[in-house]
Amino acid sequence: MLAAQGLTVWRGERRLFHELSFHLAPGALLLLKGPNGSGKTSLLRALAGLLPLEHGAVELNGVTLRADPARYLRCLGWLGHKDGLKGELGVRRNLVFTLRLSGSSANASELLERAGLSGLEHRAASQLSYGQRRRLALAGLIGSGAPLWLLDEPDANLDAQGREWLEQELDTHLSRNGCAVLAGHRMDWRLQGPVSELLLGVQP
Amino acid sequence: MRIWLTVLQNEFFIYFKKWIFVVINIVFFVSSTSLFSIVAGLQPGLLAQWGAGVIWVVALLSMLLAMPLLFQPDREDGTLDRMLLSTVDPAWLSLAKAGANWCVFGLPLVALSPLLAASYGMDGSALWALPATLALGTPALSLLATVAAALTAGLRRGVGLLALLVLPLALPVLLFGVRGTELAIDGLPIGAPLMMLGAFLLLAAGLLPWAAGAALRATAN
Repeated sequence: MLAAQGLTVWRGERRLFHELSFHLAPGALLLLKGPNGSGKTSLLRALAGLLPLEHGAVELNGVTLRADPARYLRCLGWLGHKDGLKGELGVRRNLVFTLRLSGSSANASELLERAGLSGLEHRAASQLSYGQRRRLALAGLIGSGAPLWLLDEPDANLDAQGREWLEQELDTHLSRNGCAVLAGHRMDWRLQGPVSELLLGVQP
Repeated sequence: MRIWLTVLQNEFFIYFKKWIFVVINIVFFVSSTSLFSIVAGLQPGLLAQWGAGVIWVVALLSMLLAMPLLFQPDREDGTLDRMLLSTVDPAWLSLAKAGANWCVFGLPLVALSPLLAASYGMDGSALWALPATLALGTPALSLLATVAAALTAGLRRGVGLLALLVLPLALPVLLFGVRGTELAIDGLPIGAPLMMLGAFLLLAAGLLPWAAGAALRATAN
């Protein structure tokens, strides 16, 4: 499903990785590990096309971003380091906005219930706790229906219950032949599908 | 189309919550133009001649004040990444943002301008010529602002650069806007400058959202 070939990415004067290649089959999860500054977030951004590649290509379901951006982006679900929520807007409005951006017609009420946020539909996102905001951002990703999830520290600010929920949702996604690339520091993901790891080091 | 309306709706809702910026903008526009008319101490006839230029320049500065609100908050809260990763071309999102920005910050200037024109001693056709030129010129400024704001959204202190980018490009709009109003003060027909402003607006609406979209993509990293 996801094939990265010979990726070289520079950030300013620093080369983050050189000739990096990997492949991810449907139903598999890739854990990106490495110390702070090793380029985990940059690799995710490069896979999403938000960071330009010096060399190499990323193919998603056989297409590159350059060849068919609409098809590539439709296959891609994004949960960045920042939640991507508008603090001034209500919970439901935020979710509907995220779903419309991903071209999804998923039921917002159902997703809010799954995320444990029902009853908070009209509360401004700025009045939610950090954990609740993360849940809302995850609900948008789940509702996107995209086969590839790119997640940057998805468990940040989540409590034990929230982490369990996230693991369940990841399992469901992978069991439906979706795949995911997950960057973070947590080591003990309890998932049913195959998990591979990619350890990134800090380049001088 | 649906996402376009959603962005527009969201923008109005967010500006409604940030009403203080709208009030500051209006107060800046009214107080700056009024102060000038009070302290300039010009003859009534001369005041009207100067009025068009002063009101137009202050309108341009008011529009500049609102510019950092276009993309900077989206960059900070991560919604810009979401927008760039959507299947909707960022050009359409930029157009929606420029539209909302003009409705919230440009339209009040247009609505208030006849009052300010009267305070500068303008009368007759000049009282509608000023709002007419502003109504055609300020949306073009909003569109121009989206490009500059898209280019500088990633910079921490991009506001100064924003002004530097926009001011020279806004000059044609400013010149035709002022000229149109001056012609009306002299009792001459203002069809030509209005048509030029209309042409600028059409050109800006057709081209600048695409430039803003490309700028957003180019500065995404």
